Amino acid sequence: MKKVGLIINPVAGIGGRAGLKGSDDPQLVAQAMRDGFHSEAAARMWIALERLGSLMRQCLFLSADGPMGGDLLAEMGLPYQSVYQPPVTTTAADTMLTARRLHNAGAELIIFAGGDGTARDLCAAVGCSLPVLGIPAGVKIHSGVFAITPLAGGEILRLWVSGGVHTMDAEVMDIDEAAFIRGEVRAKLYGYCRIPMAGALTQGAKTGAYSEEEALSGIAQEIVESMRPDTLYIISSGSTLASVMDALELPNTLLGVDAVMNKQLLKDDANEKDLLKLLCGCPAKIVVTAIGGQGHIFGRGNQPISPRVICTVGKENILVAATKQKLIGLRKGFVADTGSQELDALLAGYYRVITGYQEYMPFRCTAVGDAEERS
Amino acid sequence: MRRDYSKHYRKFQQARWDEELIFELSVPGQRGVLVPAASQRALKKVGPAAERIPASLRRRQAPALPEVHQMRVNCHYMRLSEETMSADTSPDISEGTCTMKYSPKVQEHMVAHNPNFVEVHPCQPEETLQGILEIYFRTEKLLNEISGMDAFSFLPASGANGCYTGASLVRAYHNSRGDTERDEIITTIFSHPCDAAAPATAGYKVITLMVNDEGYPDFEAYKSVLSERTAAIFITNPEDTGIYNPQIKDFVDAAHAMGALAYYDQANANGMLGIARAREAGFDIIHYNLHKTFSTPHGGMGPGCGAVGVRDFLAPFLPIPWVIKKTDGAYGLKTDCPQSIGYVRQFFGNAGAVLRTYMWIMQLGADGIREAAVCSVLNNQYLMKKMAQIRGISIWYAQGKRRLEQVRYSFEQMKMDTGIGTADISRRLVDFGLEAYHQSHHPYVVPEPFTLEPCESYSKDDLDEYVGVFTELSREAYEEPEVIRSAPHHTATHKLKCEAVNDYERLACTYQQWLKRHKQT
Repeated sequence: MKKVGLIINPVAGIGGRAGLKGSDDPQLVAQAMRDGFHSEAAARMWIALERLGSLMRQCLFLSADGPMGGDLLAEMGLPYQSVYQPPVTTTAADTMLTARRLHNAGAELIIFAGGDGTARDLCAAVGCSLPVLGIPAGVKIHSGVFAITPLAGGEILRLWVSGGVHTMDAEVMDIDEAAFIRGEVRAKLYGYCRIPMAGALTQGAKTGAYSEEEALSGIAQEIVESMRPDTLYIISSGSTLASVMDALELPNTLLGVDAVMNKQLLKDDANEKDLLKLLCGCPAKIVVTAIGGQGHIFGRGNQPISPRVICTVGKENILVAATKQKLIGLRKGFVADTGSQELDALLAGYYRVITGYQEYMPFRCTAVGDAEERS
Repeated sequence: MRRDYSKHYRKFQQARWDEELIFELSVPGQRGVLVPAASQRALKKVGPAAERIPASLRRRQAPALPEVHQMRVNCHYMRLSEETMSADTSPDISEGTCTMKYSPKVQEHMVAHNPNFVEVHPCQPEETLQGILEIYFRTEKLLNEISGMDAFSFLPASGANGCYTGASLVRAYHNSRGDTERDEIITTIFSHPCDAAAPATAGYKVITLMVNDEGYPDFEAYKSVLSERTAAIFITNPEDTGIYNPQIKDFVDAAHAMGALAYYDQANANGMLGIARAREAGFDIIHYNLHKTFSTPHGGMGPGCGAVGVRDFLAPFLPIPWVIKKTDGAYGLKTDCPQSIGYVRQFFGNAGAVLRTYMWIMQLGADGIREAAVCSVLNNQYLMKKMAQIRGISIWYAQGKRRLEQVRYSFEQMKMDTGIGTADISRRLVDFGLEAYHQSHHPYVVPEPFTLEPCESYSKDDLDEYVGVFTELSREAYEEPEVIRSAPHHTATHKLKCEAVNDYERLACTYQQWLKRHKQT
């Protein structure tokens, strides 16, 4: 028996139908509900669960009562173990509480229907302590934890229940709704969750000649071996580069920037001022990876590496690292969105990306304006 | 009346034997063959055989080999073969990139039974090996003509071994010129993975080029990494996708302009035999897999040969021994070659592969070889056109352009529509008596991929039957997907769980290792 935790965000997607940019603001959601809009999260979860077919009987479901999962499971005739009785109107706090309780009750995976906001809540509650799988039902879907469609989500769940699926880290991203309403797109990296490695792009464990971990350890080895003495290494955010810090046996700031010299940590979670101070007079390298499905190498999760920092270090001292599988997923190349259009244009061009130990792939970066044109 | 093969699905049922491992059949004392004791005369001459082995290398205990009588051994392996798909029982269109053409049986009879070949030994004095040496010499001349290269080595036993030999030749060449700083090779994502792996094993850093939107290697990306550090480019063309790179000459010329060499992986040259040559494209080194293009069986059915061909300026570096024709007309083996990279294989390689190749070429002649390529490409056009009409199948890149001898297809659409993907279809395919197909080399770029290559051997009936089965599989996926999900239904083994393959804690490569793990013996 596989213990499957299930969470439905009962307000996910409401904002989209109502023409809002998201469903994070409880007041806007309440208004949308009064206007007769409803969430399709449960219906989407139904589609995913149905894909399990006879494998449903090999699962023990755990969920919260009512619209957060219990209603749907009862309707589908699936018995479940209740971990929480939510209030009539649910908020992010209920998602987080349910997620923690599912984890404590021994769930081996949490499948959830929602959007980026829900993913953030899960990330905050359980992080990478167990795999999660998102069924897209929200307005904003920027995080890498979601299946492409509910059907595809069901397929991944089916593979996971049958066994033999590896897991990997995926970014949890969200955009700033307030800024978005003003017309600014600012996606932010909030953290990482573990997901089953079975998406259309990753192809799943059955093909796995390589695991994600092996590829990352090769990248880390390559970077560490190439490190020069008395040179400042500005290690950007992201799980790819966490492997570099692991290889150096240094503590890592997953969502921030660390400064390393002679394999010693000079400053963790550095801000722009820290970096500019450290940069005084010494040679330096910036080590970045691509964040999220959009391929940002600057401007997502590494804002301390500002235009001033980049200009001081120089374009020729930027090292980019990413697994081949990640690059294959980035069909449109990298994007630089530093906040300075001039610099973005300067950063465009080919980078010799480190994809493994003594393995590289030239990969193109475009300035943010061009990328939006092409997307 | 003849069958309509486009609608004929075979009611295939594979044998299913609940067969033990050979080790589990072992009964102490049983023997398959009673080996006669050495004669007194032989003993007198050489003494006890065991004493000729240095004491440090001698076993103290007999090896734990299975002890099984002859009939049971025979039975065992016949049963296993009945549980295996075979190129001799069904058209093997499924193994795209492998070039699974039919290998005429006369070649097998010669190699397996003809005493003039079977009974020679590489340790014999070379004057008693004149026949096989002549065949090596003549086959080299034939391949020179087909490829435009100036010399060949038949020592590498596989394509990857050939590729490794090639990387060693590249290094020897640059070193001979005092050019020792070149430590990078460039390949493409749709070249065979050994074009990256073999040079990496030989110590090179590897730069891989992605494809552009049209499905060709990105030339701009190539130029961005080409430098005085580049030792060579190692590329396959047409690539895995079956797409021929129209800029190939530009790639080669740019490499040469930078002082790098150009290596052409022609393991599968089936689309261009007798039509185009590596020499005219400017390449310096190539390898042919005799066990693909030149009709030597492979895929567990026979030892291979990755024949490496070079232009004259690289010939001095070829591995030893060289097969030469002496001034008196006799053939010999030359090992005194100061610039050679040395040995890459014991003795002089897999002679059986070379003999089969010689026979195949001589049976077909120049026109026949060209016709093989033409038929191979023609078959592929027919298959591609039919496959593209099947619901759920798509072909990535280069829309409207022809592929040469193979195509990488995708079940992406079917997966989105039905949840049935390439791994599911591959399992179900076997229920129709066809071999599970090759999906893709790594890493997977095309989603839900599968790669088919119909070679020159298969008839229109074979192709129609194959397409018919895929049409039926597509119908099943959209109308009764559970049949596919629970497949295979008519084969020796059912669906295997793959997780152990990736789990080094559980994976055991030998029976003895498994015993140690699980029985603590």
